[in-house]
Amino acid sequence: MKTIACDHCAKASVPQNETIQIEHSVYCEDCLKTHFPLDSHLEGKHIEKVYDPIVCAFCENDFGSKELETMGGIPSCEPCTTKARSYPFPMWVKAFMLGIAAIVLFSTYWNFRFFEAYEHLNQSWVASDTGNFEAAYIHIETASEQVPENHELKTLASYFKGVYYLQNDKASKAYPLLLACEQDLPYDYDVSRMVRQARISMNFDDADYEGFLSGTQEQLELDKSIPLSWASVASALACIYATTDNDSFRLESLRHIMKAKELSSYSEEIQEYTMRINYRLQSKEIITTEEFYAKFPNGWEFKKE
Amino acid sequence: MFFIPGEIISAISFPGIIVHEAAHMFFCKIRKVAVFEAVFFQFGNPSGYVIHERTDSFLSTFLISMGPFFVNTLLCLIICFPAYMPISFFDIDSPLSYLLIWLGVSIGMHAIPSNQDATNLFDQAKVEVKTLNPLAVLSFPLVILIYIFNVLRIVWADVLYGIAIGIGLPTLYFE
Repeated sequence: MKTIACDHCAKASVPQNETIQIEHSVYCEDCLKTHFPLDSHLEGKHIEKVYDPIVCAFCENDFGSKELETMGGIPSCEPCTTKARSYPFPMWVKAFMLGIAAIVLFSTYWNFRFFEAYEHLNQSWVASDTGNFEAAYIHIETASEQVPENHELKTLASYFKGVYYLQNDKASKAYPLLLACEQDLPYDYDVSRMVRQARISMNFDDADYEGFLSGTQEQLELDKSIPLSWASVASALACIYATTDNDSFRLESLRHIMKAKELSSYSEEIQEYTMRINYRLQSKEIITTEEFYAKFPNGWEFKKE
Repeated sequence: MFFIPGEIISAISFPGIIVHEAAHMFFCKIRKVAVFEAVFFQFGNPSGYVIHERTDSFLSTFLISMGPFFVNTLLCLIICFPAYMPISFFDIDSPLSYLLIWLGVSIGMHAIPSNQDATNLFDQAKVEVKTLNPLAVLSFPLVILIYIFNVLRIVWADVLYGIAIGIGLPTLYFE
């Protein structure tokens, strides 16, 4: 063991490891306590611990004249160095970290259905934005099956499926679906109008032309600026004309057609619709859109009798 | 803002302290830096610590000091992310989800290195910056942020950080 003299008392031989250098001056433990009773007294001072190179700073074994290897500047014997370099994680910490990993895996597995549902929901929105309501309802139904606890997904599944059926002239299938979600969806989903639309289409499918007319008139009363609403009334009037041969319905239908055309600035959609109504007025034949295009793949032109 | 003794906060968020100290020690092992003593959790101040060998490698110092920041933040996110989704997006509450969020936020709130870690990094960055080591340059603003953050702990900055990572990020993603 090496010894050193304290610069502040009469001790000429203090074990080096029991001293400290402050501002390059050696203090024994007693002088340190005397000169710096509080930690705050050491603030801003240059403090240095100079270790005895032959005493292991960890196990405090004295190795005689043999100078020890240092570990981070601290003399350390071989066993202490080996121990420090292979300091183990305690078993409970390993178990804890494994537990965290297990929880993460379990949580991901347990909640995976939500991620899948989320993905399907997003795909459903993308499909609906592009007007592909078939894909939209298939995705949202899958999402709803994965998260059956969520009522909103069921409502949306009902809505998208209803819109899909309505688009494909399957009003009787669309009607109950849209009716079921009418109260649950916000106004901007326009479900009430679609429910009315489905009812109107059902009336047409059931050859209930009086119901068809009252439905379309009800729709027109709600907003007279929509050209399609005028054309729908014209369509219903044409059906009644075709079945009753009462000319007043024909004239009234033509008046509604004109109004629809004016309001739409003769848009392609209204021109197409009114072409089919005009065919009905002239032929007195009531056929579906599908049947019409099977008969006239290139459209139909009005011919004066 | 109300005061809760640090020991109580530590006890409530003990998983974060264990992970924080384990991250320090993990990077010591990765960088082959000797560990003299490690306490992963205790009631008292500090609630955990790792005493390790001084190293001349700045990368080692950086990784050991900043390790908990990366590990705790990442764990917070991956624990909270799957748990928060059913609550926030599908309105489905379950005790498991809340347990995971507590675990994640507890871990996240102990992500920020201590002032001692910052000081270790700062001392070595001052030397290393002379060699224009980009990591050393980056360390200065990091150290300042760590000091500021640790001052702000009195106004729950640590809890807010855990919430921001565990709940804020998933919310941003799912919104």
